[in-house]
Formats: sequence, C-alpha cells, structure tokens
Amino acid sequence: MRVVNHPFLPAIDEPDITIYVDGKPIPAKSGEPIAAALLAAGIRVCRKTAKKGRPRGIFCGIGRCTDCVMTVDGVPNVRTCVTPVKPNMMVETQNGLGSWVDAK
Amino acid sequence: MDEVFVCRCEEVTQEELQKAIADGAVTMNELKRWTRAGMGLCQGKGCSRLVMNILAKSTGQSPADVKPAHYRNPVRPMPINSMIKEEE
Amino acid sequence: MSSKFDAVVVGGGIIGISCAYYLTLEGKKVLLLEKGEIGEGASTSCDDMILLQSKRPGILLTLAMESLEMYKKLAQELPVDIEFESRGGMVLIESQSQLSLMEEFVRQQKALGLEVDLLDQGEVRKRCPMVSPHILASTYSPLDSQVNPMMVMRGMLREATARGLKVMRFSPVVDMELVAPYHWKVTTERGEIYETSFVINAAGAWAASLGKLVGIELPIKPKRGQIAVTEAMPRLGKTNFWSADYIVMKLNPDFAKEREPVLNELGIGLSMSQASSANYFLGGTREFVGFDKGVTRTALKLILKEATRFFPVLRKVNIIRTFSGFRPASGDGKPFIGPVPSKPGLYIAAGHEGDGIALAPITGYAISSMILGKKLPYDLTELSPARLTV
Repeated sequence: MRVVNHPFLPAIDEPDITIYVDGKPIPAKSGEPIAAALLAAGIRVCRKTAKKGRPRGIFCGIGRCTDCVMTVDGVPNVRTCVTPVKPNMMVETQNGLGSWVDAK
Repeated sequence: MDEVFVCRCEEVTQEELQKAIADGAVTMNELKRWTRAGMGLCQGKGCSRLVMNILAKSTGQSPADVKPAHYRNPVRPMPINSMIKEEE
Repeated sequence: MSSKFDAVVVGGGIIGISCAYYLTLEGKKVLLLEKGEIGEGASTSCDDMILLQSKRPGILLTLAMESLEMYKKLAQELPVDIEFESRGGMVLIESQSQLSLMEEFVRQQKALGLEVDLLDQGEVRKRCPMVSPHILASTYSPLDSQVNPMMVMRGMLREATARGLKVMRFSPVVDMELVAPYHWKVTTERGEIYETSFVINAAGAWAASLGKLVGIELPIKPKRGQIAVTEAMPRLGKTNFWSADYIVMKLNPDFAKEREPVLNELGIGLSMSQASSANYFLGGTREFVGFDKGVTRTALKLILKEATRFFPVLRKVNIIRTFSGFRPASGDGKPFIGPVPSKPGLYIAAGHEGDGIALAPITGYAISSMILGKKLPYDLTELSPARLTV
C-alpha cells in the first residue's frame, strides 16, 4: 500500500526505519503513523477485545474510535493511527486490556 | 442471530440496549449507566449517534431532540503524566 | 394512573429506590418521584466502594456490616449482575509516624471484631508489586467490598416495578401538604397531585430543599467529591487502596501540618478502586462549593499526583473521564433514617455523605420495617430525625 512510481512526485514513501510488530521487523517511513506501516505490511488486526476476544483494526483512522489501539513500547491503548513511528519501536497486538509489565 | 454491536469499545449489543429501554431507561445518561455504551475508551464518539437513534425510536422523539449524555473532560484520553506536569 | 398510594418516595437515587424496593416487597403501593433522571445525584457520580475497615464503633458500623450481608444476598436475588465483590482493601502507610498511629488503630479495630491486619513492606510488595518502594506498610482487610450502584438501582427497579411500583421521572415535588396524620398530598411541578399515607424524603443532596416544603430545616449540604477515571487497565494489586493520610488526620489532627495546605483545603485523601469494568476511580476531594458540579484543574492535578506517588506506573495511564458528585453531608457524619415526629407519615432517608452506596440496602429495609411497624434488631435513635428540633 505504499506509493510507488508516482507520476511526478519523487520517492516519497520509501521506508527508512524498522519497527517490530510482535517481534517481527517491518519497514516504516519516519514520521508516518504506525497504522500506515501496519497496512503496508498487510497487518490488519491490531487487538482482540477484552470482553469477547473479537479482532479489531483500523476503523476511523482519525484517532477517535480507539479500535486501532495496540501496546507500543510497553504502553497499552496507543492509537496507532495517530501515533508516529520511531526507529525500533516495539508494537504488540494487544490482548484485551494489555499489560503494564514491560512499560519503559 | 448475529450480535449487532452498537458500542464497539464496550462491546454493547443492540439487544442489551433494548433490554435497558425495556427496564425503563428513557435518556442517554440512563442508557449509558445501565449498559456502559459510551463509557469506553472513546467515550461515546463512535456510538452516541447510534444509541440516540435507538432511543429515539423507543421514545417517539426525533433523534435530533434526544439530549446527549453528559460530556466530561478530557475530550480525549490524556496520559496522567501530561496532566501533572508543572506549567512552563 | 391512580393518585392514591401507601407511600410516595421522593428521590430516585439508590436510597429512594431501595426504600421503594423493600416497601413493594411488603406489598405496599408505592410511587417513586424523581426530579430528573434515575440516579442523577450521588448514586451515579461516586466510586463503587463499600469501605468497612476504617469505620468507628457504633450504629454506623453495625448498619454497614448488616448492609454488607444484604448485598451478598441481593447479588443472588436481583435479576441483574450487581458486580458485588469483596475484594478487600489496603490502607497504604508512608511514614513511621503514620505507622505508629495505624498500628494502634488496627489494634482497636481488631478488638471490635473487625477483620483487619497490618502488613509489612515485604508483604505489601507481594500483593502489589507495582506500588512505590517508599510504602512502609499497609493495613489489609478482606471485608472492604464494592458494587455497581447503577446496576443495583436497575435490578431493584425491575423487581419493584414488577410488584407494582410506579416511577415518575422529571417530576420535581413542589408542594407537600399534611392534610391529616398519615394523610399527605404531594404535588409535582406538572401539577399532578398524589395522595399517600407515607412520604419518604430520599432526596439526598436536595433533601434540605424538600424538607423546607414542610417547614423542616434539614442540615444536609452537598459535599463535592471529584474523581478521575482511568482507561480500563490490568489490576495494580489484589485489593483496592487508600492512603493513610485521611485516616491519620482524623485520629490526630496534627498530621494535617505534615501535608501541603492545599491538600487539606480540598480535603484530599487518595482512594483507588477498580470497577469490574477495569477502570480505576482515582479520588477524591471533600469540598463545600454548593451545587457546583465542576472538576477543577487544581484538584485533579493533586489527586493524580498523589496517585502517581503511590503507583508510579500510573504516569503513563490515560485518564478518559473526570466527574464530580455531591455527597449529602448531614454535618455530624450520620444519616437521617426514621420518622419525623411532628409530621406523622413523613420519613427521612437522607444525609448518608460517603456511605450512601454501602448503606442503601439497610436504609431501605429499615424504612420499610419502620413504616410497617416491624421491630428492628438495632436501635436507630441516633439516626432519628427527632435529633433535629422539629
């Protein structure tokens, strides 16, 4: 889902850093929301709900619905659609409420 | 029958909302308190219009006339760190 | 709808609904008049706690223990999940001077037969590994419990309605007339007039203005408490928590000097309880500001600072909502439960301050018993409205 071979813009969407999703390295472009990197890597499930364990992913994409939240660098409930990537960021599929054990 | 989720955050179904209405809930606040619809992470941003429509159907009001549930600060989730910082 | 009832309960909060529940259980014809929405007062703007370990000996402790047992039964009997849980409570102790006082306090509470113990630093860390390392000790009691007041109201309403309870929302009472002993006429803002033998003032923070309608001066004032609600999060420990501050200040007022003055002005004592939905309630203040339902930046900041002092991990947790509620404070820490001697048929069930949720079942039961002339196994004279000069 990255922009390639744009008619007149230069290579604007070339990944330049790596983030880790459930331990797996995926490419990301500095400054883009985590959700963009996830979509480009074909990752659609961000979390499982607390009550019924249903999968959720990007829904509104504008930081309002909180469906896309994941645990980022040990902090649960981070809205991936409005949070920019950082090099070596650790992103985890959140199970329900998440956990605080690894928070930096 | 498949569950129809109205409040995505708290996983509240249409059926649960109808049950609360059957118990006598007639306002958005009452529905929220009895079903948790609107109490989740997004605080009703996703579901309040839908709940208003459901309530309006049962009370015979126009959805536009249904008083919304109370709005309270903060308008979006705020990490406690940001709320206890000393003013610069 | 008929306009003649056995009892009219004014106030659709947890106290009023409990009164209606127990009265209809006895086959009485009851009308519940609520000025706005069900539970719009303190019943839905509180935390969910039933605190027992710090209660002083006397009628309130007796009633609280009784009410706790009633909740255990209600959890089985009511047709909804009232989310009742005896999760226990820990009062976290920060300093040696607090510890000395709390040791004595725990000794006294144990002597009363209350299940409460002192835990040392190691035991505290075991139960809540995320607590700040500076916590020296804590109390622990398995008695402290919690419930969801909104679901209690829903369950009681459903049962009572099935037994004939009539509920009128958006019906403020504008007049109450004692036509003859045990014959009242209650008029609502919409002009409806209801005749009844008994009237129960369960109007909480608004009980005083209702009392004025019949010339009674109730000293019940709104005492604001502010609360911050966190996102749903995993448990920080096995129990709910309080800071020892508030208790030690009551035991020895000198302790107030050890805190920043603003904490004392706002009456801040940290309480942390986790609802069954996994959100933490972080509270709270004790302020007399009339009916100002705002949440102030100052108070919020102080409450949150206290919370992070005890649990540093909270710094990264999100607050998703803040609110404030009005505890109906009677002035002497005791609710009014009982008949008004000079107005035959009028009962007061209000002024519970911070114990409304805890005492709701027993209050409803007591009011119903008194109205039916049933003898109660405890003496409620201390809580009688007769203690006012009416």
